[in-house]
Amino acid sequence: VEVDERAEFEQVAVANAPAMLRWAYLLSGDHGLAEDLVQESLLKVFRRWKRSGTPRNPPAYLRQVIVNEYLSWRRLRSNSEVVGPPLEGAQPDHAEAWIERDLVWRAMSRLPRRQRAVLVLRYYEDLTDADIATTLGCAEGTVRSLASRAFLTLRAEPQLDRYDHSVGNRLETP
Amino acid sequence: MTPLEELVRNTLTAQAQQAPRPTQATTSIDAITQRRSRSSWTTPLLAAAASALVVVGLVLVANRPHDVPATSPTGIPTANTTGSTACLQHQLQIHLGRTGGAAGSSYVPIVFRNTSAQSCTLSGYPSVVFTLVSPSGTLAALHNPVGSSKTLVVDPGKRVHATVAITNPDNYMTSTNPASSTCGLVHAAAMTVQVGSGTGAAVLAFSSDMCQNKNGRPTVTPYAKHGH
Repeated sequence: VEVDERAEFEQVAVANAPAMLRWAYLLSGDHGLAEDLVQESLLKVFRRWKRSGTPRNPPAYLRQVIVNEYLSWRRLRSNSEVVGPPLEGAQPDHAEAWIERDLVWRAMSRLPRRQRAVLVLRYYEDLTDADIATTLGCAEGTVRSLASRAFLTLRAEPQLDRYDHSVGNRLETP
Repeated sequence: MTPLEELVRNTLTAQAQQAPRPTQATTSIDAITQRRSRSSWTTPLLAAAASALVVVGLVLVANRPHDVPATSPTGIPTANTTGSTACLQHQLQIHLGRTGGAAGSSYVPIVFRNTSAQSCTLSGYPSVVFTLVSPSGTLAALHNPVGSSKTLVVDPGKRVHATVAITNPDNYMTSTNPASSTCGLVHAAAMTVQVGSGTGAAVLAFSSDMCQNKNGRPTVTPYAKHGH
């Protein structure tokens, strides 16, 4: 039985590994930490898997575990110490865009973890604030507040302060 | 969605492409368990070493080897009509040539030497971004569309160059306004150079006063054959 469980688990892990590494990298900003974050999360998931069986929605469940692991990970260095690599793949006529993305990425590395997680879940995963609240285990209002504070920090970057000040509480599309 | 939200989305989308690729060890419970028990006491040391390497890597990244070849956004290596593929950053040794000067500007050639065994192509402009220290920030060179920007084939061992022009801030200074607002005087300490289709970037030591306002801002020419 254990062999079947393990095979089933590893099948799900392999299928979701690229997405898990993307989430972990966007959260941690570091290749090595992302690998470790995914592996620590998988180990925890596997232990629960043996007890409770396959979760109903494995991708959403894995995402939640990775986010929670990221938020509680003692090994993770403080955000201010995370130095990301330069943005890659820039085209020669997009130097301005490259600079702005680089500024945002660096500013994000200085955000508190929960604020950064909200940005990743909102703008990369396209989750609703309600889903983000469920993932983080907090109220929707807290999600909006975290996003608002994150944007305050981003706008404090000298070269990003030209962006308007109305962001943070996004307009929900019907 | 507001422009800043759009920028955050674009940043995350671009960065997601740089996420590590999974290996068999990523998802194998046996491998994870083994690795975990082996590294439990060395982890803090490794984390510190990795942190230092990342910082060093920012400087040395120009010639870093790659696990996978860089590709176009579609994941397919880019090729042109000559049959050569676009040069990747790690195929090129990038350095600054001898600075020249005339008429209130200095001209710095960025030389790209193909150190690989395959011919490759460069077209358009390199991306040139200065790291500013006073005040801190970044400044991108504008494009100076001199000559033609046709695709150049760079054979192994051969060089091409692009020229950065730096306007002398003194051109804008007056006795009543030494750090002229027309110029927007800044000081750069490094130059980051990227080829169009490559990954990584070359960070080159480069110290110079320059203007950040549009009319005096540094420019870069398209790639040109070296010696022309």
